[in-house]
Amino acid sequence: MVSSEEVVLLLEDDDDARTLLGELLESEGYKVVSFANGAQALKYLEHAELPCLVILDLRMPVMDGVEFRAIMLKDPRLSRIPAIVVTAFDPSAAANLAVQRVLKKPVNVQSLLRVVREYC
Amino acid sequence: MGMIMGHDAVGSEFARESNDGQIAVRALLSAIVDSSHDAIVSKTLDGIITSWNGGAEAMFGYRAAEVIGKSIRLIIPSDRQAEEDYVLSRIRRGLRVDHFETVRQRKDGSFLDISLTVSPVRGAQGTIIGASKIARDITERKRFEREREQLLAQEQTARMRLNEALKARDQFIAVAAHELRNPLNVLHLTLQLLQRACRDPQRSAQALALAEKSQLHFDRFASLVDRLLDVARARSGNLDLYREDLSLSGLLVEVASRFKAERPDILITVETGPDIRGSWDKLRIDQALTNLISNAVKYGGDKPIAIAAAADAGDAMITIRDRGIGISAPDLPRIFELFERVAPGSEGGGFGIGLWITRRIVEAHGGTLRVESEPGVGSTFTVRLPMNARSTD
Repeated sequence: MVSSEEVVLLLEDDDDARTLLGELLESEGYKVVSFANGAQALKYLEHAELPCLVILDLRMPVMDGVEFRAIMLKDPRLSRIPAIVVTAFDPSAAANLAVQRVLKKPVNVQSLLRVVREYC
Repeated sequence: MGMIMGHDAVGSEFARESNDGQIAVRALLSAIVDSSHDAIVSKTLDGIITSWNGGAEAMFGYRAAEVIGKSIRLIIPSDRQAEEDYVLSRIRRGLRVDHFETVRQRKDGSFLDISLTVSPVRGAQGTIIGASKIARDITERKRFEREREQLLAQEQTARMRLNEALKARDQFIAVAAHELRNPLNVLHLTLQLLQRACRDPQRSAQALALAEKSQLHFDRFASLVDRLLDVARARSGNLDLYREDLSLSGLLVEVASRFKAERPDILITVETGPDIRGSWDKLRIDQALTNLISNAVKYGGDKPIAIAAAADAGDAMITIRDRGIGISAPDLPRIFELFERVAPGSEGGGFGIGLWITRRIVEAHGGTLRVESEPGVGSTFTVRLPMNARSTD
């Protein structure tokens, strides 16, 4: 258990997956803020404290993970935030996103928690 | 001959024989020209016809007597008159026109494709005094060429359609993989969380909740697989119907109530007259109505959805009306196609098979499915179902 005031930002369009991952991280003592697409998350980031980590699904409606990450990288403030990608697709899709790690779906809970512990 | 003659005698004999030979050669040439199936025509440098063989008569429909002394322009279509100027200009310069493919007009006004060779004719002093032209009817060959071009174009269209179908299939596989991966991912997550909860005796309530969730996700996964199987069945025409006496009004209320429970924020009204009954496959009609209402919920912008049913001359008419984003005219014909999802980034996801399978189900019952829509105003889907089996199932 950790007791961090730092936030893990979770982007996942599948409602169930988002809820379960959120519950998992919260049960480990993390504070979680989650969104179903990149546009909502960007809006949140405009005024919020920077999260310690972004967990990013690539395929989402409205604004997908690739576009979201590209916008993050162009912004000096947001580009500092570490990010990991969780995707069902070819990991090479995340090649140019300068992310810390790519995890494949179905996601292994232990691996995910190990990575989160590294950054938060 | 064997006789010795004087010089003069020999000379005059030779001249006579030579003269006879020329006449014979002329007769021979004339016979060849007359018997040719090609049109062989001579004309002056002004284009006035001076000879016209049997082939020309057969090909163009004019008798020799009708055209000799007239201009060759008679058989040249009005939009090709300039060709004659070009041909004559070459002839005057002593040049041939070889295998020139063009179109000429018969006496009856019809057109024919010909291949034309025109050569200068020289007089005794070697000056050019006219032209001889040989025309071959290539209508048949041109027809074959056109047919070949048509076949080629058809083949190209078929190939293009095939490529499009293959592309749609590949997209579908990608979408299907994603759609199946998501519930699989969630199921995987749930089971991992269940294991964690099981290790902690204090969390047995959470464990039970997670076990129940696993069941739900498993069902969701199974229903996706069923939908994929439906596509395979319907494509091969094996959409078996199990008809039974069914109350449409009852079924509509039942299906609508499922959506009302799921989306209490949307006003869904059902208006049916007296009990409408027919001989239909309950599961399939349920599936079709579910797809249509689900569509209205998905694209209805959370605005009211009106469902109505009425009996009309042996048919049941069901309308499902939403006030959502609507469908633009160019997209309308596509929405019933397999693997099409017209609305971008539909959050509900799906295979893009809902409306396709719905139409198949309705048609298997001998009915029709229509849509009217206006962007920004909404869509109305109308199902017409014969009450009694008169279908081809």
